[in-house]
Amino acid sequence: MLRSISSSWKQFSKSKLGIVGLVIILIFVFMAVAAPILSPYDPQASFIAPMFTPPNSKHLLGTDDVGRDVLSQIIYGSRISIMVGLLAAAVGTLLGTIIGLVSGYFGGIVDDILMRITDIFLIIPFIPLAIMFALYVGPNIWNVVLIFGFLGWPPAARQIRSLTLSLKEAQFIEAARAIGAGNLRIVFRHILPNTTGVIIANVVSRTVFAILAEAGLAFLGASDPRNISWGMMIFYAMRSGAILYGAWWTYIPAGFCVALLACGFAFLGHGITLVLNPRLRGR
Amino acid sequence: MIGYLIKKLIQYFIVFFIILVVIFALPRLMPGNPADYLISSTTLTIGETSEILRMQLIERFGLNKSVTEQFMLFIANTFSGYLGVSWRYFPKEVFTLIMERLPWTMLIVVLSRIISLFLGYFVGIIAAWKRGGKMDITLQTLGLVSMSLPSFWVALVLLTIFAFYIPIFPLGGALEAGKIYKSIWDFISDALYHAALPVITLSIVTFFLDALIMRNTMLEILGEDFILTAEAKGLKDRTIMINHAARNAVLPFITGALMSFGLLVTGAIFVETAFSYPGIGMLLAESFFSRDFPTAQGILIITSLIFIVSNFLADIIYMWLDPRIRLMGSR
Amino acid sequence: MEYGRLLGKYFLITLLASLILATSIAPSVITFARAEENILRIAFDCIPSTFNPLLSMRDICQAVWFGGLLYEPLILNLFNGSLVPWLAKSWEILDEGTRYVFHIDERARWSDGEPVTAYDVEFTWNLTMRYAFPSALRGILLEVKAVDKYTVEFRTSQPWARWYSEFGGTSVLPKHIWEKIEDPLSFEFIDDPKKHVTSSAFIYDSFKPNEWWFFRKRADYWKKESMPKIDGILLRFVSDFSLYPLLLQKGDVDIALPYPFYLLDQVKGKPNIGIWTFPVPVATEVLAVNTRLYPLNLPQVRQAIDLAIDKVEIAEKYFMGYGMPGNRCLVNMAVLKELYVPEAAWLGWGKTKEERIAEANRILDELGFKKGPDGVRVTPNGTRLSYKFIIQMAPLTTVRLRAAEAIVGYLKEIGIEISQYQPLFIMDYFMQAFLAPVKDWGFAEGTYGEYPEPWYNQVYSYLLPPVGLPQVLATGFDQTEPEICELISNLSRSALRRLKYEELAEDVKQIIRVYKDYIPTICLCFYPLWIWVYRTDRLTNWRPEIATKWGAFGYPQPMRPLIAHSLVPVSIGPPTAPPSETPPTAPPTAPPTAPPTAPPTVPAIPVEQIIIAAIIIVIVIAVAGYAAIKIKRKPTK
Repeated sequence: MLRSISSSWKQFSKSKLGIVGLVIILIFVFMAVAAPILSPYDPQASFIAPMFTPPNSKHLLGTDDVGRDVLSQIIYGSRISIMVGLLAAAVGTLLGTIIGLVSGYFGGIVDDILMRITDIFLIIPFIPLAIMFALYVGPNIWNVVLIFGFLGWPPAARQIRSLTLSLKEAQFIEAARAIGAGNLRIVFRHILPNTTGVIIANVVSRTVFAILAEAGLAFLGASDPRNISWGMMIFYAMRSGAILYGAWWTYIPAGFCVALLACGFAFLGHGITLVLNPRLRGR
Repeated sequence: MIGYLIKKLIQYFIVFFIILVVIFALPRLMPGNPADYLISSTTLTIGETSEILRMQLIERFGLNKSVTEQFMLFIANTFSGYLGVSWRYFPKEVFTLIMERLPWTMLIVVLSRIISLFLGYFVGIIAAWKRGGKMDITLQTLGLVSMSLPSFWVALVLLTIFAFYIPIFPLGGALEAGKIYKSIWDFISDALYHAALPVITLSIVTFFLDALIMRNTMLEILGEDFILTAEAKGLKDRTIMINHAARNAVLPFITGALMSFGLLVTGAIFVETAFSYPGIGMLLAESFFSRDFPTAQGILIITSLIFIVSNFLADIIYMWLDPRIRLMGSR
Repeated sequence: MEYGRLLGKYFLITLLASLILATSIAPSVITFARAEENILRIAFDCIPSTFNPLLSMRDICQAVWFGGLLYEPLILNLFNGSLVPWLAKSWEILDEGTRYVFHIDERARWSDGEPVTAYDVEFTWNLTMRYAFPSALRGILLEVKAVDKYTVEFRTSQPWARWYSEFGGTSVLPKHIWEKIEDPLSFEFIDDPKKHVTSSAFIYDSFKPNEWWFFRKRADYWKKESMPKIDGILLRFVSDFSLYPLLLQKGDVDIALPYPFYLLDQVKGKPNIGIWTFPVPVATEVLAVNTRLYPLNLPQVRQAIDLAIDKVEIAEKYFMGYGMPGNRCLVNMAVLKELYVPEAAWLGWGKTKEERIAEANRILDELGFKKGPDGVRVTPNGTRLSYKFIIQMAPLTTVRLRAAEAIVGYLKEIGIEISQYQPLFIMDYFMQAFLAPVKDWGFAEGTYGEYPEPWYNQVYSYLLPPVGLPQVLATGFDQTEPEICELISNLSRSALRRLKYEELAEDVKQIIRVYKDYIPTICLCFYPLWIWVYRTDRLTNWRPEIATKWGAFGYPQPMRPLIAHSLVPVSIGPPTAPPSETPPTAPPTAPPTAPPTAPPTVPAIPVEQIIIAAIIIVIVIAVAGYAAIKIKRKPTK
């Protein structure tokens, strides 16, 4: 087990992009964890300086429409993005894994039905449904997590299913069955461990989408303003006329962080895929 | 051939129907009854509630019927094109509202798709041909990056630079407010002028992915036998690339393009909001902001429909252009 | 040969690119057609759904912007308090204020030539009483009768202080048109200007759905001395407030209303821009407390909350200095000095933040509500002070959302937690705040009181149901303190009977003296809601302070000063000679021009959508065809 981890790491470290991604994520995680130490001001303290003050030595990224320090908000905003992003992706992947395992392992009608359902859920447009959800339930940061649970599982389900299908026919499974191992045991002890790679890759790649979705919904005003979120910062910036004031510091850095964090996960995912898929490693 | 199409059609129909069921069930599973909201907000005045109006509305929207009857009504209405009445723009019908805004979304989506696909086509071919080269690697990296860019942020960046600091483009909207056009060319040019930044934004966000897809498709084809044959025949690289590989890559490329079309319509919501561009994306954002349930629901239905239709079109074109399927189907 | 094909491929791209490039440069050369020099262009922020005045209570947009144009009232109410005879040339108040008699001006004519008579007034009010009876008037207004052709009487059960705005200020509809309609509630002419019959100086001429509505001057207007000097009024819908500064600076509109105060910094000091704010901040930002929830029903708790909220910070910072800090009633006593009750001032004046919070905490401590480990107070019987907070979103969205966040912070400092924070759009908010049978929120923040008379705020708020949407519906004050509410309600009714302002002011002060100890609705701040920003080079000789009020809300109408020549002669264009009271003998400075040349009035088919759809279809066919051709041709080797 340990040997496989270290050999995977060796493979992974060959990918420059993967390393870059990991570094980026770690920086943001550090930012999130050490937020109280890092941020120069209380992010929710209003009017510590006039509104829309440009970046200066006291406020490195200036202030927003209610005189709050933008840099502090960005530092604290990383918490929501990382937390919600990872959680949503995890929920989606978890559900998808369960469905994929069941579908792939049992095959037959169960597989057919589940795959049809997957097809249907793939066609439902994500963002409009997320918005409707937010409409009924109210603005909440957990909306994204819930919706991912509802709509975000098909890609994971598909991948896990195809992997399960190929694993099912493997020899060691035959052997296990010959000994008399029950279905549940086979699935959990033999198939599942072999899918960890795919699961992790899936979580990472869905996190990209989840981060963007959370930021997007916050941008539209669907997030709870009591929690600082990068998307919400941009929402307020737009609504209070920051563009017309030329107060670019209220929205450009926040969006940049969203992009950077999502990029980090995307690169990381790329690196992980290279480990899993030797074929893609180049000529 | 026709049989294949009909089978697909039925499948899509079922999918659409199930989506409608989901959409119908969703509000009724939520806490609180939107039906109450409907009555209250349409009869609400500052201080007045007219009992007559209230009863009329209950009758008209069938809110006093059982759930099954409501569902039947919902299905019947949807298929006859009646998607309810907007609360924000009362008494305007949701369908009319959507149809007014849809052409604007289509304009920017179609234009950006064309630009993105054309450029992606060429860049993808070159990247595939020179696999592992600088262009290829850059493309892959940029593809990852563009996948993680929030589209509204790109929109705002472009807006700040090119509409505020260097005022080349307008700050938003589809047309200049209240302008009266002297001719149709006047109108078209104003529309395109306002569509330019949204189109550029959408293209930037999708271009790299399109190029990547083209590259991957090309790579698959290049691995096939008939390319080997052409090489063996001594044909020039460029000839092989253009005449043989590229041509065969267009097929999956186009079908993929059609399918992503539906996704882009929903993806355009952020770009439209950033530019205050009055398409259905912006309508969805507005209806969220003003708690206009019927409109949001209607947009959900319509975008699902668009997605299904574009999938279906992709199937048709795929079938038409790929002789293999045609032959298969006719047996 | 391959180069030809390559060229073919690149051709399309270059074509598209150059098309986009060309069109992006081209429009800067095209200018806005300004044939209509003598037309007033107003930008506003909503789309009317109907022009039926019976539905005006449902469509605020129509009530505010178009009511003053569509029809005329008996009397003009000016914001400075004076009354100007209009359709009614004179009036009397008889029988100790239970009979209001109006004499119609015999010159008045409808646009189809028919005379305006007392029968029109009677008919209008019969319609109103049947379909759109203002709830405040129920039980007050008994009958409207036409005594003869030019005399109409309003009979009431008691004197009514607002007779001039409600009886005198409501539109008069043409009986001979409306009596033929079977269902008056469904009569609509917003999409058919020809159906508009009015006595007003401007008649509905043309429109473009969702974009603009144009009213043309009638040369045969009956009130010759008030013949407008402009040729028309163009009302343009602008979807986004943030475009207002741009439009004004570019000169695309002459007035932009209502101008949000948080955008004023962008037009202050700019050339040719004039700003006018009403002397009395017209709107009140309030925090309604749901007294049905224990312990919010205890007046001391509300006093503590009132003390903890930093009203000065809200007014000066969040409302950007345009607000005035609230007090402990619902009337701006600082401006309306005749209503000043010193004991009702905010108790936080002169205290530092620490002092206020300490005192508020002390009040709650004395009630026995201990703070738990998480800082949230718990009552002796176990109730946690944790509530839902609903917030009215529009107008003022960002300002209000930010102020609400601040309030959450203030409440936290005294141990009250907000468990759920929900901004709601206006209809939703009214539903949850006022109409829902069960109110599960603890606090509701919104704007209240944009009534024509600032004192009406205080009087209207606690009238017992079923009167409209007073605050008592939201706070449940009538259930928690029935006697006090009854007292306030009776005082309010007494105030509404006063025909003399001094007596009314005394009644209002009485209400304030009672109210200040209970404050079920906490007054956060007063702010200007109706700010007029206009082009000074276009609107000359205009004195907006002699604007009029119209309708239930008294939103001042910019149109009146323009058409009321006897009040203020207005011109559009370079400043002319000082205003005179006599009608101008010389022709207007600019030759009267035709209204904007525009596409047909009622486009049955939306032209724009068709054009765009056509462009798209052409492009798609071209691309598809191109691709198809390329693929079909297989190499023949």
